Amino acid sequence: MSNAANFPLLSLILFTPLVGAVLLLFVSRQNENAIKWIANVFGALGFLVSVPLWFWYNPQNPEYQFVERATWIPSIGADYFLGVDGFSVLLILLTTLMGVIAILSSWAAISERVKEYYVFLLVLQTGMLGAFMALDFLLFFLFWEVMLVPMYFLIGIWGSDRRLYSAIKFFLYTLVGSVVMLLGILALYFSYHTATGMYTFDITRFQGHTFPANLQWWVFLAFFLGFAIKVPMFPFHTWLPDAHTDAPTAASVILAAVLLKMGTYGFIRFSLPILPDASRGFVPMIVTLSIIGIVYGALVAMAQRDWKRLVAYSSVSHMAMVMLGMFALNPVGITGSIVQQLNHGISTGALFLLVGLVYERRHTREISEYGGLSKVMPVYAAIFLVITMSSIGLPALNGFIGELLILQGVFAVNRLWAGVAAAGIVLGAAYMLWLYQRTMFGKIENAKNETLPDVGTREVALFVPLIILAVWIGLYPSPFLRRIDSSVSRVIARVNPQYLQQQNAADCTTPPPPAPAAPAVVASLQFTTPPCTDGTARQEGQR
Amino acid sequence: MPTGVSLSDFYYILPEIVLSIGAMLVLVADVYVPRERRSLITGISVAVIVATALAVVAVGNPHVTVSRGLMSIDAFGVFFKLLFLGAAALTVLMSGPYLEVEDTPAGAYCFLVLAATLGMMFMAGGIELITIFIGLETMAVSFYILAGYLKPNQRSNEAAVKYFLLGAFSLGILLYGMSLLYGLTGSTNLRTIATALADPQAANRQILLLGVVLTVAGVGFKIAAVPFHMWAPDVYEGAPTPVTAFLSVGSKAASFAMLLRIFVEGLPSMSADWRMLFEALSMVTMTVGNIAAITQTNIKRMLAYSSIAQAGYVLIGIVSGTPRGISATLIYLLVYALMQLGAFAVIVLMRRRDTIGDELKDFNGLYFRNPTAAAAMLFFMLSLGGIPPTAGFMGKLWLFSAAIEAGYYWLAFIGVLNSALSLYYYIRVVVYMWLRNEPVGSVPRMNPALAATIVITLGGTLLLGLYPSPLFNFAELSARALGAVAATAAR
Repeated sequence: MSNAANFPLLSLILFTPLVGAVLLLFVSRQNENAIKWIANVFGALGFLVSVPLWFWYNPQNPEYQFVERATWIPSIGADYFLGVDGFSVLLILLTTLMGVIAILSSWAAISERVKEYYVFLLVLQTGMLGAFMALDFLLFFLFWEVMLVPMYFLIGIWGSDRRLYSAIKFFLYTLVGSVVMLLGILALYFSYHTATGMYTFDITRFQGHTFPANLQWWVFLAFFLGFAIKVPMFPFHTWLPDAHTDAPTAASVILAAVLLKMGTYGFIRFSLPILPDASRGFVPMIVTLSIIGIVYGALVAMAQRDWKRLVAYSSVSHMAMVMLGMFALNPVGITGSIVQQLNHGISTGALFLLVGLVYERRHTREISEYGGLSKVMPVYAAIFLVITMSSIGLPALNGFIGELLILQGVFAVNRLWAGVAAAGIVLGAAYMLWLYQRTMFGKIENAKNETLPDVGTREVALFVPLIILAVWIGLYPSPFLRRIDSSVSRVIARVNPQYLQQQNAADCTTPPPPAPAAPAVVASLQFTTPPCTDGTARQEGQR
Repeated sequence: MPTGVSLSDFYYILPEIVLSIGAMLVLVADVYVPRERRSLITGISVAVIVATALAVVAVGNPHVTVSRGLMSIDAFGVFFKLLFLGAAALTVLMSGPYLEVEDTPAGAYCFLVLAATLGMMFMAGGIELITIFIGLETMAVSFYILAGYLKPNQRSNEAAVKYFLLGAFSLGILLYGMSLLYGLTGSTNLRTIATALADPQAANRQILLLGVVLTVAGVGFKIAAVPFHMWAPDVYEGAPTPVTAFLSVGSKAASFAMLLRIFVEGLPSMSADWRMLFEALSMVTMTVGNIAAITQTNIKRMLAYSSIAQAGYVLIGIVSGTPRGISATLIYLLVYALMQLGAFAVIVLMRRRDTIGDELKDFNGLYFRNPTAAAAMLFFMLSLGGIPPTAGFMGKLWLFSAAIEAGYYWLAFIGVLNSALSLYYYIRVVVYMWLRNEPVGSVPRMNPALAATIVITLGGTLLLGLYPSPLFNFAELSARALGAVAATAAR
């Protein structure tokens, strides 16, 4: 573990938004322009200081990088311990980017209690970044919980009709999951102490330690509850449509683009490497729930009359796809799952922004209220088209790469799973295209839509980085894949070591023989696609 | 055990002496100070408390027993004495403005607060049943009067009578339990009792068990554990707000100190039995307290049920019985004192001439009227619910980790579910203050004494939430001073 920057870069990224929030406390409530400017400057600054991560992160080094460590609570072995690997670098960059966009998107939308609004957004930003950086379990939990309160306020104060209900539902739902997760963390902590005589919350040590199988089983369930609620996986998803629908635009964007990733990040950072045996054992359960989630989310999305609710249910479906790819437990599937997390952040974040723009103009989210918008808002329609294509996985855009990798990974494990997942993708295309058709095409039936102004410069600026990213990942994903390669291998080495043995034995040019008809799922995992046929995912230099 | 009272004994009980003399000074001063100058009386009281605290620190932690084994001067006692004194100081600070609004004299009031504190100090220091009982009685009688201090107020009178009747009843039960212990072992000294009971054949097991059960019940009344909690909501609601704060913090902490002394120091041989009893009490107390709190519309009543639930959490540490469990108990009691006193300081702030201010709807839109108070209350509520980065989280973390370490998984599970459940009503206060856009009622104005109380409690709540190390170390040291903890550690 090292810190190539020789400089507390992560702390700088982590605390920039918080400094902005503290600064805002000292600005007079009436001075709304200054408040907006400060918030935007610190949002942009937060993104700028995170950019070096992209360049300085060394993809060849499988260890955690930019590590910072200081004692925090010595009597229980908790440290201020930060570090990143490939997964977290990408998610941190996504977070800082979405942070800027969310803050900028609020300029005109938020008119009351402006100061508190930006304070909460910036504190939320620090909470999310901390959760992605923490290598100390207690520190992670602290940031994990810190996120709850600002998000609660963002929904509860600036949300729409049923905001109080949605906010408390979001809060209590996620809280139940996380307190049970805390018990799991403590169980690991004491088990590690029994085995080694050392009290520590050090995640890197946990990742190198084999916990008793029985304990793994229970802790996996505890973590599952915490992470699955956050993802959210079927049947723990019911808070999400409410929270999304009632949240203000920026909160929806952050919720979809970053907060949901906390759950999937939790699985890949903690569940898989720390509890590998239990993770393999729970594959059937997770896969079943994921497949239900993909199909169910898509079908329910199709039935929605509320634009924002439709996008929310599409999130359920897409995140289930991410989970499915991850629990293929092979490199292709996990790589796809990470890429798809970025994609979901980009495309769903953009979709919520798009809903927000028309909501600002019309103050309704009913799909039937719209129609024919492409005539009055051509630029808007064009942006929406690109994002829709990205969301449904059209080739040459980002969604395609992620879904392809996931399906490839899943196909290698079980063809039936892949088949159902592919059907889910088709359904996804159906409801998105239908949404596009109902809102953008046709005649303008509603007179109120005839005078809608098209998107302005500030509004277009929100989408420029997202569209660039969508095209970049779609056409040339290697820079992204390269950065997560060694991290993927490290997880695979922990959770599915048989795969690596087989990979070492097999020649890259000849595919390994298919496994004999294995009844158990775990056994069939050993059979995977040859690593070298997938030119994009397999780069040299891993392991 | 020393055989007589020596001069050095007086040195060791210097804090108690300072406090006694100081309390009487307050009474004397009351005669000369005009009724309107309440701040002078409260000022003198705070000075007395600070002097006592200095004496506690000066005497330090010699780990000796004084006066024929009546008291033990150890780190455990120091921890609790400082806790009581801190709570008393904050109570006196917030009482000034409150008494002014109520237009009630401050002299006797402050004297009673100091007397109650004196009783608490004997409860925490005593290692002898009579000492502990006299301390308890001193504290209880002071609180009976304090609860009814607002003479024209009917609720206050009702609270005092209820508290007195039920309190006297519970003290009787406790005394009966203690007398059984004395009868079986021939001693009132806890350490002698422990030695006598170390031999399983020494005493009639059935009667001993009866003694333990009665003592648990008596202590259960004092900490307001379910099913001995019935008095708490009425008394908390009716008593003057600062008295409620002190009652729910000081009296509770002192009763826990007494509990630890009696059971951990005196009855380690019966630990399997009383742990089982406390485990059941803990589960029921947390759950009933939280569920009952959800439906309350009066914030003092809600905090009464909340404090019942909080006692349930604290019991988790005692059930664990490990050094970690005992120090968790200490840590949580201190953390709880900070956040509870802070929350009550905000409620006191709401009390003005035209409003009583203790209904939840009085907090409607508080954010628009006084954002600072609303922000402070937000943190106190989050801390009571155990959300980081507040001290309440660190305290709960310590409690639950003690339960898991000792193998009480179900207890920990019920504990965390309860703490999630409790957020429902804590957040409701936040909803009233922050999310409702109906700014009604007058604007509460800060007063220097109240501001100081809120700043101290809020600062402590946040500081200990981010950097709890010093508290953890101190609590661990104090827990180890308790006689039998080292023995239970071997379990």
